[in-house]
Amino acid sequence: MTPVHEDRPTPGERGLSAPEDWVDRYGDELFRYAYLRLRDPASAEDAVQETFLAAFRARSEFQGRSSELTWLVSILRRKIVDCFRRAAREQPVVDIETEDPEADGLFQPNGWWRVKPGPWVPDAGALLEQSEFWDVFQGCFSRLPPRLAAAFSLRVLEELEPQETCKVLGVTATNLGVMLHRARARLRRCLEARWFQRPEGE
Amino acid sequence: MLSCKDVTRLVSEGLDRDLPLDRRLAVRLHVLLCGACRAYRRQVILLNALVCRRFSRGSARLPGGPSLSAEARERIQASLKKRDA
Ligand SMILES: [Zn+2]
Repeated sequence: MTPVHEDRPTPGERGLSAPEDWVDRYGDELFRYAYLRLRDPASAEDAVQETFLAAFRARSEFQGRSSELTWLVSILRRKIVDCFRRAAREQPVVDIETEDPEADGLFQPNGWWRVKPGPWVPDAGALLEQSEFWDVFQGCFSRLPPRLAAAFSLRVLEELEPQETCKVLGVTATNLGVMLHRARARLRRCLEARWFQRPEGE
Repeated sequence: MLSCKDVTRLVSEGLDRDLPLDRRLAVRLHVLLCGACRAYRRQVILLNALVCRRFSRGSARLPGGPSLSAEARERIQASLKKRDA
């Protein structure tokens, strides 16, 4: 344990800024975080509101060890998982269809490629800093069917373990595997079409 | 030998759990001989790595993008005030 210094905020409310400032300070960032994962503005707003209310109730538990934003995000992440859990309960996945019409077009009946993956730019590492790339990514992500997007959000963006993701979505491990595979394959294909194969000079 | 369709499925699975040795070797052999699956595998792994780095735990600080609407801001502010009282 690190010794407590005098100048550190003491645990409890004194480490937190005034709740009436939270919305102005953190509202947009929390909203963006939620909107990216939930893909629906109304659900994202609800998650942000629930987060602030939960933070207000738990304000005495804020330890001052992490930043306020980090603390709020950790609450928001639980609200996002709850939102996916509720949606999955309302519309449970009965059975994943074994045939995927989108993927089936890519392969021949014997399982070999019909439409082969194209070459991608070599300087892919630089993509991380290119905001245009992430705009395209978000566009592709927004085109995923809801269940595939939910699986991808929880497993890849929120980094939940596969087992935990299955529980939240109420699906078997096999189903989750199929959903993630389809989500990744579609994202890859969409990015290939919209980013990696743009005509020169665009 | 695995088909290309099988390989794409296993590439995804490999990102979520350790594949059994025989599967791993089968994928490795396949991509050695099949340029299309080699490209597919490289691209999916690259995308996964990019997404992980961009959105890794708690990184809320994304510049730009949509912001809370004025209505939502007011509604949330009001709900907090109600609790505050
Ligand atoms: Zn192949």
